[in-house]
Amino acid sequence: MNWKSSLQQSFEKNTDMILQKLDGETEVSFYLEAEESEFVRFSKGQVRQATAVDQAEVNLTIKTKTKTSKISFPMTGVMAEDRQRFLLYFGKIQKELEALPENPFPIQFASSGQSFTNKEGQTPNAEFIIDKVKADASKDDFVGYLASGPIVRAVKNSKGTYHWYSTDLYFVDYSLFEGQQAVTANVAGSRWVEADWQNSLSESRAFLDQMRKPKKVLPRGEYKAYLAPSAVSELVSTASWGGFSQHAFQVGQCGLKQVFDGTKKLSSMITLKEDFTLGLCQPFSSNGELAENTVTLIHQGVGEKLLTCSKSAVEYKVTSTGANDWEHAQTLDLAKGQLSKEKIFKEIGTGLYLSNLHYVNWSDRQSARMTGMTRFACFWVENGDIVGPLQDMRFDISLYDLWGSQLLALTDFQETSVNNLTYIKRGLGGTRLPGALVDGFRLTL
Amino acid sequence: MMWIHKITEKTTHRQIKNEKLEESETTIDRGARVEVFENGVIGYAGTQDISSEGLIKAEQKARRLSVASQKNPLFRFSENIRPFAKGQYKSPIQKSLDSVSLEALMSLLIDCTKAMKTSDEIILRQAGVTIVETEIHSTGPQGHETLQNFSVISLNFMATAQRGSEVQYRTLHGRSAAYQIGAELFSRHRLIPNCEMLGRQALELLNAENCPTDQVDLILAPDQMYIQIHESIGHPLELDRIIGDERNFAGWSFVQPKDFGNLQYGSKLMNVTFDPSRFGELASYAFDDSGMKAEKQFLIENGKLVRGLGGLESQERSGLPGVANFRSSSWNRAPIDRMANINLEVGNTETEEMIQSMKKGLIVHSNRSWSIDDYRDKFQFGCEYGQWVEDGKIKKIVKNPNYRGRTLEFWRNLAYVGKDSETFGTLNCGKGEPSQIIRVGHSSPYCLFKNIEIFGGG
Ligand SMILES: [Zn+2]
Repeated sequence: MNWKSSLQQSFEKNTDMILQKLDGETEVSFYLEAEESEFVRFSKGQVRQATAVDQAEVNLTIKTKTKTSKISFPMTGVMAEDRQRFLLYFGKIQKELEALPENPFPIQFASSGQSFTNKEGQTPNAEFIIDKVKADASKDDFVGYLASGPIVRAVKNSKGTYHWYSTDLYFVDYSLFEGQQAVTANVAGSRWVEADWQNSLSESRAFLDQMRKPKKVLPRGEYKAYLAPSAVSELVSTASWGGFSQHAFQVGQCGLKQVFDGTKKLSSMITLKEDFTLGLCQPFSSNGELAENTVTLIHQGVGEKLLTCSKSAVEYKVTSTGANDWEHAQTLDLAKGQLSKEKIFKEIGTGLYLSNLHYVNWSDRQSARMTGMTRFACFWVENGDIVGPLQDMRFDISLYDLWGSQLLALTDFQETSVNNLTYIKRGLGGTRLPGALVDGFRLTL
Repeated sequence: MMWIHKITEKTTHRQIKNEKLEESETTIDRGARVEVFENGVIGYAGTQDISSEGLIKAEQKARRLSVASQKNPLFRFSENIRPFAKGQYKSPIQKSLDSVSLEALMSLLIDCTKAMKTSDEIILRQAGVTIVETEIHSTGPQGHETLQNFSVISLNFMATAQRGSEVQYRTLHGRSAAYQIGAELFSRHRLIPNCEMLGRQALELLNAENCPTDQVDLILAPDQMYIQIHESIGHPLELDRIIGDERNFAGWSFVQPKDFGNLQYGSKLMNVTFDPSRFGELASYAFDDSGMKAEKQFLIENGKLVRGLGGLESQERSGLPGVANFRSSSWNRAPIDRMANINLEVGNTETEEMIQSMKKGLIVHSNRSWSIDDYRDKFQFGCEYGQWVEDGKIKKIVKNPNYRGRTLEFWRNLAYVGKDSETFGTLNCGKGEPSQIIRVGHSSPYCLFKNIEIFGGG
């Protein structure tokens, strides 16, 4: 039996075993996050380190009428071993409940039926990518890594809810360097497509060619700028930490507070949705609630809905959108606009072409200000032509302005990028975003 | 040759909000990393099945990956990168964590949020505690064996004040109050006054003016120094960054191999150490994951760069001097060069003297925003709480204090170093592909920097 099947069987049997032990007072929810991964790390087109990881974590929430607690523990897929762990940790958490204060905002576990999604693919393993990089990129200074293999999310609770979501995914996240000039790219999918890989490498090399020109050192100031979808993604991903959260909004820490309290309107070009129909992640929360298919956060510049988890729903007496506990966006879609690819350089005229941004952080949430750096394949453009690569610059700018009066156009195409975060575990989700042409992009250092 | 690292970690997080329970969560993590070293290349496999059958499977995977990597390795290592080690480490604890019951801890945290309520304008009061207990047991060839036990506590206390649309907050040390320590940290008569202070200062910020835009003398409190050291000294000195491993993700470094022994990093007052032996600091330990014994070393001496932050693999690859900092975040990641405890050694100026020396200046406390470029040069930091100084005296509180600068210029403007050091740390330093978060500690006194660009929010 393969890893996924043994895991599924053990998860089902052992959760059932606990569910049968419950008295009428106690409710439980099990949320499983698991992966069978291979990682290969490269530098200078050669292998730095290769690591295989099997991991599965069960997040158990237990509640009675007045109390709630949580425990997470690892499971192995070996039925008998897992049985002991389920019993041990269920016992521990049950006991701990007695010593805890009451939960002032107890949530209801969702009764949302059952579903089973298994997206089969065929992902490259370590040997495959090592051969590929050697064959196709040994002349490049290729640096980056492969993350590959099945990922599982599942939830089961005492209300009869059971959703299983498994998917086979890989990405190769890489950069090509020539001295200090570099371009970055990401190839991803559920099976290897040779043409995607080859196209990505040749596009990257073409970009790198443009960077051989002398570096342009700019003075601080405000510039017209084109932000490619990958640069927009850096801003949107940072904004999704607290920028669309009900809880953050209620305690005055929402980075886009004034959009959602109606005191500020963004450009009518901005329509932003949390869109689970993109199929980039599981559409359910850790307590079994199904997410709304699409949640419109901002409609034509006007704040519409905040991401709301079941806990916030109880605490602030609002409706849940089925968001995760952190209320950060997982699968954002920014509507496209009118600017065609061919016209981008002409419309920049004289200004910046920014492929990527780096280390973006809120610099002042109260005024929606963000700071960060330009990085990888960023250019100075004059009269519609690339003059040369940009010396890295820091920006510091309010999203109220950038997505408000300074937004000139969004592209008529979008790019989908998958979540490539691998802290502790491999992430799911991603974004689908257009590029953006803006005025007054403020460079400060 | 093969090494097995068995890691068990229990993390409990308890948080009170406005005198009521907000969060109670325990995470149990247990797994093993098997490392197979053949023909100069190590393959790694992590598993949560630590039965002998599970370990055999992991060994097979690790061997497979070593063999695959041998086809095109970046470097073939000698056996010197894995010294023999035998020994133990235990966090210095005065009072065992079991000595405080869950009820007692919860009641303390409830009282902490009560203490923050200095006014009805304090709308949100949070008191959270994260306790991490980690055991790392490593075994290898010829009886190689180390056992290290860590006891870590991180405090997350925050008071948020609101008046109309204005919202300001104070946290305890910008959430950097994290130590290797026992239950002695849960001392009521130390925590409660701190919580009252957070409530008071959050209110002060509601009444404060915005920080002006100017170029002035700037004093960083130790709870801002910690991140300034982290981002503009720790990361750029990591040898794996300098030799290019992190270029696709965390970034490269403005520091080049030829700079060691030559580069004047900062003013003569600047002495920076890697110190894994510092009492109570978050990243103290006896051995790194390669088995190298961890010892205090100077990285920067009288302002000059002398040593980098690289373990035995990076030292062998680069020929540069390094330290014992080859560390992984857990059983599921391969070790890489990580900073650990990076400290600015004390100087000889009292904070009061520094303030008196200022004609016009700013003192900033507790980090709230941070960003730096991928070469670790152009940075910008924001803090929670600012004190405006004129003619040698603190005149008023300012809100939203920020500053920006460039690494070398900034450290060369270091003009005074304080006498007394304070220790902070974070559980969340991120790096690596696949990515890892790890614990780091930073000790520093108050420091004064000349001619720094400052500005406010809005
Ligand atoms: Zn860091």
